[in-house]
Amino acid sequence: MRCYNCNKNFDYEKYYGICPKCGCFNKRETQEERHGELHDRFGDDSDHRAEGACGKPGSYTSYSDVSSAGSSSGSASFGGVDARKRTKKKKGSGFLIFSILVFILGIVDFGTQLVRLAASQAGSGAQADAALSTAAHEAGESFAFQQGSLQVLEIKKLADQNTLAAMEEGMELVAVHVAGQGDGMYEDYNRLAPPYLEVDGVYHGMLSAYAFEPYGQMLGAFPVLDEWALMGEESCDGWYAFLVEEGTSEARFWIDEYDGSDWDGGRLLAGHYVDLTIEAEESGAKGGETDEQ
Amino acid sequence: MSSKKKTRCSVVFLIIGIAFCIAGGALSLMNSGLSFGSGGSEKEPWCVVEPEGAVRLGDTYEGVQAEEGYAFYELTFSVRNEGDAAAYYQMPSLYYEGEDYDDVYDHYYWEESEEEAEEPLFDGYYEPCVPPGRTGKASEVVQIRDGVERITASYYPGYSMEEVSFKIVIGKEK
Repeated sequence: MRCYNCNKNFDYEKYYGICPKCGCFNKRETQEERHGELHDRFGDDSDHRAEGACGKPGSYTSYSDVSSAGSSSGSASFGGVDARKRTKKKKGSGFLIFSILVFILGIVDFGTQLVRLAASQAGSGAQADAALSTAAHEAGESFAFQQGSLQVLEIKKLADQNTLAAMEEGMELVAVHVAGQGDGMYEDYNRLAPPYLEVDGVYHGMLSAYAFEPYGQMLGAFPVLDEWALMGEESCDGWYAFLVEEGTSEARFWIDEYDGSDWDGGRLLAGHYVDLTIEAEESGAKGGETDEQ
Repeated sequence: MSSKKKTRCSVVFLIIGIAFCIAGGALSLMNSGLSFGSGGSEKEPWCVVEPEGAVRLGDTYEGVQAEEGYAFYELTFSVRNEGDAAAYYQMPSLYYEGEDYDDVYDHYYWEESEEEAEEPLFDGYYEPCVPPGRTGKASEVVQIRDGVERITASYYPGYSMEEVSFKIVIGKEK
């Protein structure tokens, strides 16, 4: 029992109700008195029930009923069993709510992923089926490209087997001069996709910067551009090299524009091309007319 | 709702929810290309090759004499790249066969062996390519046995294992 005066816990039977600490006499309170005390402390609450039927489910009477009947000396209590049941009920509801939330989350997750998958498949199909959007430009013209602009300036023949004996017979090395502006950002995937040179319907890929750089420096086509030339840079000005059939005089320079939505460039937006004329060996070349499509 | 029913209902919802979550996770992995060996979002070429002609070049080609009973033919193709990445090198490689196994020999048959051949400067950059969304031209010289009227060419359009075949009618001398 706890002393009402000093709050010391002591054995009521052993000390006959007299607090060993303060000597105060404590009367053992009945359940009703305890109930009344708690009731005084926490105020009236119609939600709690009278004890009366403790251990007899379904036969509880509400405390308010008891009190309204003027029975202050009844056997009212806070109905511990009922409270436990209600807690259990609440726990059951909580589990149900949790399960429903997991269910909804699962459906939303699954649905989202399904839509994403369908969209990506439809997207790839659309890209395969749709005709490539192309844009023609003239040599020297500055055109909007990805996060900046690009300018294809000229094409010139650099070498053939007479200049570089180790080259394959019947082929010649040409280089295209390109200048560009970028936003200087590194994070937006503003990469320059490898360009192509189209000669009589045959496409030639560019030489890698690694393979071409030593010769470009020697043959007057320097610096050499690669796909990183505009990534994190505000401008670039350099050369791309190609191997074409000897005697080629007309060529179409292609560079593809991507939306930069992914590490590999993202979606192909358009192919930009410039028709170029190779005028004379070693003397540089001018851009030709634009072929309207 | 009784407690038992409620519990049962909760368990059913929970199990279905977890199953959907797992399925969603698997789809997410598929979408990000991390599983199932699908290659995910990696770009790849998808070439559609169509024959344009087969012209007889004669018994010799670039100083090489054809096998006895064979002649050189130049086969020309159009290659449409419907993928989202450029097709390089032989865009794609074509495999030829006739009714008999020795009806056609591709050019590797008479090329010099690797020991004898000296690699040219910029080796690997002479082959044409086909950028995505465009149609390029390609040609190949093969030896075909006299009297053969048609051969079959087969190729793989992309990185998948789906093989495509078409017939080539052998033409006359150029």
